[in-house]
Amino acid sequence: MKSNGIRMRLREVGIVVRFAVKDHYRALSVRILLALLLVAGLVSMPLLVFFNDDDTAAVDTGERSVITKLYVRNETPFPVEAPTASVRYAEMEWVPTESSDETMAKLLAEETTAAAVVISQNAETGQFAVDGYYGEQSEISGRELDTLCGAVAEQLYDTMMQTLQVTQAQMDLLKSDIIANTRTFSDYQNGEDVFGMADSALISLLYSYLLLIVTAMAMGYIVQLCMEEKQSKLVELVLISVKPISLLTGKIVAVTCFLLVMLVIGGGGVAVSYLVTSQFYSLDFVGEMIAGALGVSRFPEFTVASVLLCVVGIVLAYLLTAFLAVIFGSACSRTEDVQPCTLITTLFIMLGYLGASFLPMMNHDVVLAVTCVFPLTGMFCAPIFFLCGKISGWVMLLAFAVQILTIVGLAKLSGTIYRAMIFYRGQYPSPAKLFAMVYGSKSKPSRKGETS
Amino acid sequence: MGFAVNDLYKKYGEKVVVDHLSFQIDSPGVYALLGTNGAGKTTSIRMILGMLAKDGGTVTWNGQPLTMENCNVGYLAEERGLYPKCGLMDQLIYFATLRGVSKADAKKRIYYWAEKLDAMEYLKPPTLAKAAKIKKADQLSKGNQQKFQLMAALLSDPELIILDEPLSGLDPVNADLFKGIIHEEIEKGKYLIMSSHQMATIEEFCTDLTILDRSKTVLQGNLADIKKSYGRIHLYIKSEQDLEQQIMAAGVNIESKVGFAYQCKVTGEEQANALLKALVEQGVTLIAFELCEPSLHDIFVEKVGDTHEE
Repeated sequence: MKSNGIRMRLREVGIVVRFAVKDHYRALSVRILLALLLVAGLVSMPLLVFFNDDDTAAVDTGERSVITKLYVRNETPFPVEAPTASVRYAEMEWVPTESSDETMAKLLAEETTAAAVVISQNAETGQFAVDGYYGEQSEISGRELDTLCGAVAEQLYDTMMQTLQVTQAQMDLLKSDIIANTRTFSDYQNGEDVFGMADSALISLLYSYLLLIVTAMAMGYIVQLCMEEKQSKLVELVLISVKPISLLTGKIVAVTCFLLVMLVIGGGGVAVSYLVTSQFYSLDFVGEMIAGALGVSRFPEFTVASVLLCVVGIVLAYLLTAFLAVIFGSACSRTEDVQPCTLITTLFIMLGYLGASFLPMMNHDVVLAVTCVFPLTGMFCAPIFFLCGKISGWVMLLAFAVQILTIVGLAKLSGTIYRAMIFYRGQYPSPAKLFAMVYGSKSKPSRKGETS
Repeated sequence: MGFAVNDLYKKYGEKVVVDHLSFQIDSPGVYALLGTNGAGKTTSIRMILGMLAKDGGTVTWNGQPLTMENCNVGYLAEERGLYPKCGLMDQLIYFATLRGVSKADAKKRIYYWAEKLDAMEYLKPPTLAKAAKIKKADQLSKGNQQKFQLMAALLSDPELIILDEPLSGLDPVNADLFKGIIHEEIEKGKYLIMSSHQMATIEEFCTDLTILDRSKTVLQGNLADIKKSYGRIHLYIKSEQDLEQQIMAAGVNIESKVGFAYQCKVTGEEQANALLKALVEQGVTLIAFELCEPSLHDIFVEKVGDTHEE
């Protein structure tokens, strides 16, 4: 009997999802948004290559540089030579000079395909610099000269190493990265790969941002969907056909589908772009660029399992915030009610975010475990702390289990509130008044004939 | 068996909005739920359908508590609407499938009702040239929207149909279409509960009724029996001359007068007969002299009007 009821609810949810998704994609604006997302994904890698400072990407193309002549004023004791090993600069004229700034400016003004570099060393800090210059009327782009300066800097480094009689093996050793890791001894013994504190903090920050974007996007949608039947005066017609909890769950799943489709289209576009662009350019710099942008020393190598874990974490967090949005969105009946409603929901989410950001700083295992298991904070940190090796798999599973139970509880509560507030029209009530309206309405009946 | 509401009660804060409402429908037909604005009709209907939590009472269908699972209910709500930007066919299929009707069956039923309600042109244009006629809900007139709302209520072929003000806002042509459908559902043996302010319409269909006033039941029973209990106290007289003096001399109360046509109220058949005898003896030429039962409108005004005059 109970399983029959569950099957019926699931059937209703399925119908609501199909209808809501179809209705959503009927809108031209949504289709345009998805097309733009696909285009953005497809052009992402060519754009990264275009704006990449690293010269390797350009050198690999085999194209000749537009710089035909380079005046080189070397103020260091190291005799730097032309980067002739690169096909790009093979035909470029390398002109060592000791000319003054004025003379070089005059030369560059006359020759539109010529550039100048000054190789110097700061007397105080000992830092070396390669500064590139081009004339006002030059045909050379800033990026082109920047790439050449990078190549000259490489030449300077190699010359310095040769002067110091450093072998190639020693040079490779000097160029290798050093990563600082902190982990428990048992993790070390088990060979668990972990990140340093700073790296894991930044990665969890990235995860939190992603989550905040997803929840913020979803919240508006959910509150609008809560009001849809009220605004269309469809409440009674819909409620005769479907249970409030099935209607809400269906709508929330539909919004999940919109977001996932957006993710698949955007991500798919980036993947296709990566595969196609990598046939023509080296894209090794992308990982380093992202790590650099995040300020971490290395970017985690995501396995399918870790990506799945993050997706499950995001979906659970999304469902949790979605049902929270429904609880507060059920009292909305006008567009102007959306603002106070989203404000309250955002407050809850921000509390969770701040808790997840600051509580782990206490660096205490119990606090860390509690932060991960408490659903509001755990949704921001549990999966990522597990991936960074800060919590065990059991704590993470417990965190997911608590989140699922909370979602079920919130779903039931939101169904009750939605049903109680479905006919409410008026000013948006405070949370205390909202709960009083929901639970205070079930008064005891008076005896027959008794009047109030 | 049938449908029964027992001791239904609801209050908001200290205000009682439905005060121990009970009624029963034992056989198919139309049951009328009447009352002034704010009497508690819509709240009662919402509680019957489980949309509002009851503070007391039971609602049963064939002896079992009424749920959407054990009774196929069709409902035309007083507050009407459709998804404004959604295709009409899509949303009708949505409502039908939610009620357990297959998509193919839903389409057949939609076309059946569209044909009946003269709304086919909004669903299935006969030629491509008329394709532009396929409209979304927000492009339809109020009357046409109402047709699609009625369709949504009837698509699942419900056993119990609740119609809250079904004819309000309809022009006479569309009102006749709706009436035709109500008659058809009665003939099919359906149970109908109808709420309306249009007493003439209710009188046309209903067999039993409840009149609510300020949350309380003020009158309940079989319409014919109620009318009989009031007796023939309404007298209509039409003549070619002024009869005001003669009528008043017989102690009969004139309620309204248009030209030489009088709407009067008598105490009973004896008083009417005495008046008729007096008029005949005076040689008055009568065009009409009709003693009739009170209309539902009269009964309603009598029952509810007094309390509103307080």
